[in-house]
Amino acid sequence: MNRLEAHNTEEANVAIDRLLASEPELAPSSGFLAAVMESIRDEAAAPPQIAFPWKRVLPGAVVIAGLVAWSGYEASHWLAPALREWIMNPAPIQLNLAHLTGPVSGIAFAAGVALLSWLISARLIRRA
Amino acid sequence: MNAPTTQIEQLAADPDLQAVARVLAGEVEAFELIVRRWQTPLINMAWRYCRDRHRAEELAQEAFVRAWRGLASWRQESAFSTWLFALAANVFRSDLKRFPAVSVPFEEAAEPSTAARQHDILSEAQLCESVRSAVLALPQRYREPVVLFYFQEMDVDQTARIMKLPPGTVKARLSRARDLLRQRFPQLGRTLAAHPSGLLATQKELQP
Repeated sequence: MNRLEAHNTEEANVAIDRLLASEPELAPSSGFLAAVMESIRDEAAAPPQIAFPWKRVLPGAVVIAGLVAWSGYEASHWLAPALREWIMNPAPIQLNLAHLTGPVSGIAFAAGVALLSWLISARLIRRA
Repeated sequence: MNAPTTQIEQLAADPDLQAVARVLAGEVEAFELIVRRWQTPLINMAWRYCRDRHRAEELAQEAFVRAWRGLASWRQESAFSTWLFALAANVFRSDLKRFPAVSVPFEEAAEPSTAARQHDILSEAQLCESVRSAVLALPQRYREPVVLFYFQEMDVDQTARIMKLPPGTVKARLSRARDLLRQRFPQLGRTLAAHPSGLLATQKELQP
Protein backbone atom coordinates (compact mmCIF):
# COMPACT_ATOMS: atom_id res chain seq x y z
CA MET A 1 0.00 0.00 0.00
CA ASN A 2 1.54 3.33 -1.01
CA ARG A 3 1.43 6.45 1.16
CA LEU A 4 -1.51 7.97 -0.72
CA GLU A 5 -3.62 4.82 -0.33
CA ALA A 6 -2.70 4.59 3.35
CA HIS A 7 -3.68 8.23 3.79
CA ASN A 8 -7.03 7.67 2.02
CA THR A 9 -7.74 4.60 4.12
CA GLU A 10 -6.96 6.50 7.30
CA GLU A 11 -9.12 9.41 6.19
CA ALA A 12 -12.03 7.09 5.37
CA ASN A 13 -11.70 5.27 8.70
CA VAL A 14 -11.80 8.56 10.58
CA ALA A 15 -14.85 9.64 8.57
CA ILE A 16 -16.64 6.34 9.28
CA ASP A 17 -15.83 6.58 12.98
CA ARG A 18 -17.06 10.16 13.21
CA LEU A 19 -20.16 9.49 11.16
CA LEU A 20 -21.30 6.42 13.06
CA ALA A 21 -20.51 7.90 16.46
CA SER A 22 -22.51 11.04 15.71
CA GLU A 23 -25.90 9.55 15.03
CA PRO A 24 -28.75 11.92 16.03
CA GLU A 25 -30.52 10.81 19.20
CA LEU A 26 -34.17 9.74 19.23
CA ALA A 27 -36.32 10.89 22.12
CA PRO A 28 -38.89 8.45 23.51
CA SER A 29 -42.47 9.16 22.49
CA SER A 30 -44.69 10.71 25.16
CA GLY A 31 -46.54 7.53 26.04
CA PHE A 32 -43.53 5.24 26.15
CA LEU A 33 -42.84 5.37 29.89
CA ALA A 34 -46.53 4.87 30.72
CA ALA A 35 -46.79 1.92 28.30
CA VAL A 36 -43.73 0.23 29.80
CA MET A 37 -44.95 0.74 33.37
CA GLU A 38 -48.38 -0.61 32.44
CA SER A 39 -46.73 -3.79 31.13
CA ILE A 40 -44.66 -4.02 34.30
CA ARG A 41 -47.73 -3.60 36.53
CA ASP A 42 -49.51 -6.32 34.53
CA GLU A 43 -46.49 -8.59 35.00
CA ALA A 44 -46.40 -7.84 38.73
CA ALA A 45 -50.13 -8.44 39.14
CA ALA A 46 -50.11 -11.72 37.23
CA PRO A 47 -50.18 -14.81 39.47
CA PRO A 48 -46.87 -16.65 39.65
CA GLN A 49 -46.47 -19.38 37.07
CA ILE A 50 -47.55 -22.82 38.27
CA ALA A 51 -44.55 -25.09 38.54
CA PHE A 52 -44.71 -28.32 36.57
CA PRO A 53 -45.99 -31.06 38.93
CA TRP A 54 -42.97 -33.34 38.70
CA LYS A 55 -43.83 -35.20 41.92
CA ARG A 56 -47.14 -36.31 40.50
CA VAL A 57 -45.91 -36.99 37.00
CA LEU A 58 -42.78 -38.91 37.92
CA PRO A 59 -44.41 -42.19 39.13
CA GLY A 60 -46.57 -42.32 36.00
CA ALA A 61 -43.58 -41.56 33.79
CA VAL A 62 -41.57 -44.33 35.46
CA VAL A 63 -44.43 -46.82 34.98
CA ILE A 64 -44.81 -45.83 31.31
CA ALA A 65 -41.05 -46.08 30.69
CA GLY A 66 -41.03 -49.51 32.36
CA LEU A 67 -43.95 -50.66 30.23
CA VAL A 68 -42.32 -49.43 27.03
CA ALA A 69 -39.06 -51.19 27.93
CA TRP A 70 -40.90 -54.37 28.87
CA SER A 71 -42.94 -54.26 25.63
CA GLY A 72 -39.74 -53.78 23.65
CA TYR A 73 -38.12 -56.73 25.38
CA GLU A 74 -41.17 -58.92 24.85
CA ALA A 75 -41.46 -57.90 21.22
CA SER A 76 -37.82 -58.69 20.52
CA HIS A 77 -38.09 -61.94 22.52
CA TRP A 78 -41.08 -63.15 20.54
CA LEU A 79 -40.56 -61.62 17.16
CA ALA A 80 -36.81 -61.87 16.59
CA PRO A 81 -36.55 -65.69 16.43
CA ALA A 82 -39.67 -65.92 14.29
CA LEU A 83 -38.37 -63.22 11.97
CA ARG A 84 -34.94 -64.86 11.74
CA GLU A 85 -36.56 -68.21 10.96
CA TRP A 86 -38.79 -66.64 8.34
CA ILE A 87 -35.83 -64.91 6.67
CA MET A 88 -33.86 -68.15 6.60
CA ASN A 89 -36.83 -70.15 5.36
CA PRO A 90 -39.41 -67.89 3.75
CA ALA A 91 -42.72 -69.66 3.85
CA PRO A 92 -46.32 -68.51 3.92
CA ILE A 93 -47.15 -67.36 7.46
CA GLN A 94 -49.63 -69.61 9.18
CA LEU A 95 -51.58 -68.27 12.08
CA ASN A 96 -51.36 -70.55 15.07
CA LEU A 97 -53.63 -69.25 17.82
CA ALA A 98 -52.06 -71.48 20.43
CA HIS A 99 -48.75 -69.55 20.08
CA LEU A 100 -50.50 -66.24 20.59
CA THR A 101 -51.86 -66.96 24.06
CA GLY A 102 -48.69 -65.63 25.73
CA PRO A 103 -48.47 -62.31 23.85
CA VAL A 104 -52.22 -61.69 24.04
CA SER A 105 -52.22 -62.03 27.83
CA GLY A 106 -49.21 -59.64 27.94
CA ILE A 107 -50.98 -57.10 25.77
CA ALA A 108 -54.13 -57.39 27.89
CA PHE A 109 -52.07 -56.83 31.05
CA ALA A 110 -50.34 -53.76 29.52
CA ALA A 111 -53.68 -52.33 28.42
CA GLY A 112 -55.05 -52.87 31.92
CA VAL A 113 -52.09 -51.05 33.50
CA ALA A 114 -52.44 -48.19 30.98
CA LEU A 115 -56.16 -47.88 31.78
CA LEU A 116 -55.44 -47.90 35.52
CA SER A 117 -52.74 -45.20 35.22
CA TRP A 118 -55.10 -43.09 33.09
CA LEU A 119 -57.84 -43.39 35.72
CA ILE A 120 -55.42 -42.45 38.54
CA SER A 121 -54.04 -39.43 36.64
CA ALA A 122 -57.60 -38.27 35.74
CA ARG A 123 -58.56 -38.45 39.42
CA LEU A 124 -55.42 -36.54 40.44
CA ILE A 125 -56.14 -33.81 37.89
CA ARG A 126 -59.74 -33.49 39.16
CA ARG A 127 -58.44 -33.17 42.74
CA ALA A 128 -55.89 -30.50 41.68
CA MET B 1 -17.20 -3.72 59.32
CA ASN B 2 -15.68 -2.53 56.05
CA ALA B 3 -17.72 -4.65 53.68
CA PRO B 4 -21.20 -3.54 54.85
CA THR B 5 -20.06 0.10 54.90
CA THR B 6 -18.79 -0.24 51.32
CA GLN B 7 -22.08 -1.82 50.25
CA ILE B 8 -24.06 1.02 51.79
CA GLU B 9 -21.79 3.59 50.14
CA GLN B 10 -22.23 1.83 46.78
CA LEU B 11 -26.00 1.76 47.24
CA ALA B 12 -26.07 5.45 48.04
CA ALA B 13 -23.87 6.34 45.08
CA ASP B 14 -25.48 4.25 42.36
CA PRO B 15 -29.08 5.14 41.48
CA ASP B 16 -29.48 1.88 39.57
CA LEU B 17 -28.48 -0.15 42.61
CA GLN B 18 -30.95 1.79 44.74
CA ALA B 19 -33.78 1.28 42.28
CA VAL B 20 -33.02 -2.42 41.81
CA ALA B 21 -32.90 -2.95 45.59
CA ARG B 22 -36.29 -1.26 45.96
CA VAL B 23 -37.84 -3.28 43.13
CA LEU B 24 -36.48 -6.52 44.58
CA ALA B 25 -37.96 -5.52 47.94
CA GLY B 26 -41.37 -5.50 46.24
CA GLU B 27 -41.75 -1.83 45.28
CA VAL B 28 -43.00 -2.17 41.69
CA GLU B 29 -43.16 1.59 41.06
CA ALA B 30 -39.40 1.92 41.67
CA PHE B 31 -38.89 0.29 38.29
CA GLU B 32 -40.04 3.58 36.79
CA LEU B 33 -36.72 5.11 37.89
CA ILE B 34 -34.90 2.50 35.82
CA VAL B 35 -37.15 3.07 32.81
CA ARG B 36 -36.76 6.86 33.04
CA ARG B 37 -32.99 6.57 33.21
CA TRP B 38 -32.52 4.02 30.44
CA GLN B 39 -35.44 4.57 28.03
CA THR B 40 -33.55 6.89 25.67
CA PRO B 41 -30.43 4.68 25.42
CA LEU B 42 -32.49 1.53 24.90
CA ILE B 43 -34.72 3.08 22.23
CA ASN B 44 -31.65 4.44 20.43
CA MET B 45 -29.92 1.10 20.66
CA ALA B 46 -33.00 -0.64 19.22
CA TRP B 47 -33.19 2.03 16.51
CA ARG B 48 -29.67 1.18 15.42
CA TYR B 49 -30.69 -2.46 15.10
CA CYS B 50 -33.81 -1.87 12.99
CA ARG B 51 -33.96 1.84 11.93
CA ASP B 52 -37.71 1.83 12.48
CA ARG B 53 -38.90 4.14 15.24
CA HIS B 54 -42.13 2.32 16.06
CA ARG B 55 -40.40 -1.03 16.16
CA ALA B 56 -37.52 0.41 18.19
CA GLU B 57 -39.96 1.44 20.92
CA GLU B 58 -41.63 -1.97 20.87
CA LEU B 59 -38.27 -3.68 21.15
CA ALA B 60 -37.15 -1.38 23.97
CA GLN B 61 -40.40 -2.05 25.84
CA GLU B 62 -39.89 -5.80 25.47
CA ALA B 63 -36.33 -5.38 26.77
CA PHE B 64 -37.61 -3.53 29.87
CA VAL B 65 -40.19 -6.27 30.55
CA ARG B 66 -37.46 -8.94 30.26
CA ALA B 67 -35.25 -6.86 32.55
CA TRP B 68 -38.08 -6.74 35.09
CA ARG B 69 -38.49 -10.51 34.95
CA GLY B 70 -34.76 -11.15 35.24
CA LEU B 71 -33.82 -8.39 37.66
CA ALA B 72 -33.01 -10.86 40.44
CA SER B 73 -30.50 -12.56 38.13
CA TRP B 74 -28.28 -9.44 37.91
CA ARG B 75 -25.35 -10.49 40.07
CA GLN B 76 -23.76 -7.01 40.18
CA GLU B 77 -20.49 -8.44 38.81
CA SER B 78 -20.77 -5.91 35.99
CA ALA B 79 -22.38 -2.48 35.74
CA PHE B 80 -26.17 -2.43 35.54
CA SER B 81 -25.90 -0.81 32.10
CA THR B 82 -23.73 -3.68 30.80
CA TRP B 83 -26.26 -6.23 32.07
CA LEU B 84 -29.19 -4.26 30.65
CA PHE B 85 -27.55 -3.71 27.24
CA ALA B 86 -26.56 -7.38 26.99
CA LEU B 87 -30.13 -8.43 27.79
CA ALA B 88 -31.50 -5.87 25.31
CA ALA B 89 -29.06 -7.01 22.62
CA ASN B 90 -30.35 -10.57 23.06
CA VAL B 91 -33.95 -9.40 22.77
CA PHE B 92 -33.22 -7.32 19.64
CA ARG B 93 -31.11 -10.05 18.03
CA SER B 94 -33.69 -12.80 18.51
CA ASP B 95 -36.57 -10.57 17.41
CA LEU B 96 -34.71 -9.49 14.28
CA LYS B 97 -33.90 -13.10 13.51
CA ARG B 98 -37.64 -13.83 13.43
CA PHE B 99 -38.63 -10.64 11.60
CA PRO B 100 -35.56 -9.17 9.83
CA ALA B 101 -35.34 -5.40 9.48
CA VAL B 102 -36.04 -4.11 6.01
CA SER B 103 -32.74 -3.07 4.45
CA VAL B 104 -31.32 -2.77 0.97
CA PRO B 105 -28.64 -5.32 0.08
CA PHE B 106 -25.20 -4.01 1.07
CA GLU B 107 -24.07 -3.89 -2.57
CA GLU B 108 -27.03 -1.69 -3.47
CA ALA B 109 -26.46 1.01 -0.85
CA ALA B 110 -26.45 4.34 -2.68
CA GLU B 111 -22.91 5.45 -3.54
CA PRO B 112 -22.28 7.63 -6.60
CA SER B 113 -18.99 6.83 -8.28
CA THR B 114 -17.16 10.14 -8.05
CA ALA B 115 -16.74 12.77 -5.40
CA ALA B 116 -18.16 15.43 -7.72
CA ARG B 117 -21.30 13.44 -8.45
CA GLN B 118 -21.51 12.55 -4.84
CA HIS B 119 -21.54 16.22 -3.96
CA ASP B 120 -24.10 16.96 -6.66
CA ILE B 121 -26.51 14.18 -5.98
CA LEU B 122 -26.37 13.50 -2.33
CA SER B 123 -26.28 16.09 0.34
CA GLU B 124 -23.98 15.34 3.23
CA ALA B 125 -26.96 14.35 5.36
CA GLN B 126 -28.09 11.88 2.73
CA LEU B 127 -24.60 10.45 2.51
CA CYS B 128 -24.50 9.99 6.28
CA GLU B 129 -27.88 8.27 6.18
CA SER B 130 -26.71 6.01 3.33
CA VAL B 131 -23.69 4.89 5.34
CA ARG B 132 -25.81 4.29 8.45
CA SER B 133 -28.31 2.29 6.40
CA ALA B 134 -25.44 0.32 4.90
CA VAL B 135 -24.47 -0.71 8.44
CA LEU B 136 -27.87 -2.36 8.74
CA ALA B 137 -27.12 -4.29 5.55
CA LEU B 138 -23.78 -5.61 6.85
CA PRO B 139 -23.63 -9.33 7.67
CA GLN B 140 -24.89 -9.94 11.22
CA ARG B 141 -21.43 -10.84 12.62
CA TYR B 142 -20.08 -7.42 11.58
CA ARG B 143 -23.22 -5.38 12.11
CA GLU B 144 -23.67 -6.00 15.82
CA PRO B 145 -20.17 -4.94 16.92
CA VAL B 146 -20.57 -1.75 14.87
CA VAL B 147 -24.00 -1.01 16.37
CA LEU B 148 -22.79 -1.54 19.93
CA PHE B 149 -19.33 0.02 19.64
CA TYR B 150 -20.54 3.31 18.21
CA PHE B 151 -23.45 3.44 20.64
CA GLN B 152 -23.21 5.24 24.00
CA GLU B 153 -19.47 5.84 23.79
CA MET B 154 -18.73 2.17 24.38
CA ASP B 155 -15.22 0.84 24.10
CA VAL B 156 -14.07 -2.49 22.69
CA ASP B 157 -14.05 -4.17 26.13
CA GLN B 158 -17.61 -3.11 26.93
CA THR B 159 -18.78 -4.22 23.48
CA ALA B 160 -17.03 -7.55 23.98
CA ARG B 161 -18.65 -8.02 27.40
CA ILE B 162 -22.11 -7.33 26.00
CA MET B 163 -21.58 -9.66 23.06
CA LYS B 164 -19.88 -12.26 25.27
CA LEU B 165 -16.97 -12.41 22.82
CA PRO B 166 -13.21 -11.96 23.32
CA PRO B 167 -12.11 -8.32 22.76
CA GLY B 168 -9.76 -9.47 19.97
CA THR B 169 -12.69 -10.93 18.03
CA VAL B 170 -14.66 -7.70 18.42
CA LYS B 171 -11.66 -5.66 17.22
CA ALA B 172 -11.25 -7.91 14.17
CA ARG B 173 -14.93 -7.71 13.30
CA LEU B 174 -14.96 -3.93 13.70
CA SER B 175 -11.96 -3.64 11.45
CA ARG B 176 -13.56 -5.89 8.82
CA ALA B 177 -16.83 -3.93 9.03
CA ARG B 178 -14.91 -0.70 8.47
CA ASP B 179 -13.12 -2.28 5.47
CA LEU B 180 -16.48 -3.28 3.96
CA LEU B 181 -17.93 0.20 4.46
CA ARG B 182 -14.80 1.83 3.05
CA GLN B 183 -14.93 -0.38 -0.04
CA ARG B 184 -18.61 0.40 -0.50
CA PHE B 185 -18.10 4.15 -0.02
CA PRO B 186 -14.61 4.82 -1.44
CA GLN B 187 -15.12 8.62 -1.60
CA LEU B 188 -16.40 8.93 1.93
CA GLY B 189 -13.21 10.17 3.58
CA ARG B 190 -12.55 12.90 1.02
CA THR B 191 -16.19 14.01 0.84
CA LEU B 192 -16.64 14.40 4.56
CA ALA B 193 -13.19 15.91 5.04
CA ALA B 194 -14.07 18.51 2.40
CA HIS B 195 -17.42 19.34 3.96
CA PRO B 196 -17.09 19.16 7.73
CA SER B 197 -20.38 20.05 9.36
CA GLY B 198 -22.41 19.80 12.53
CA LEU B 199 -23.59 16.37 11.47
CA LEU B 200 -20.24 15.01 12.51
CA ALA B 201 -19.76 17.17 15.53
CA THR B 202 -19.38 14.32 17.98
CA GLN B 203 -16.12 12.51 17.50
CA LYS B 204 -15.13 9.19 18.92
CA GLU B 205 -11.49 8.34 19.20
CA LEU B 206 -10.97 4.82 18.11
CA GLN B 207 -8.40 2.88 16.27
CA PRO B 208 -8.61 -0.67 17.60
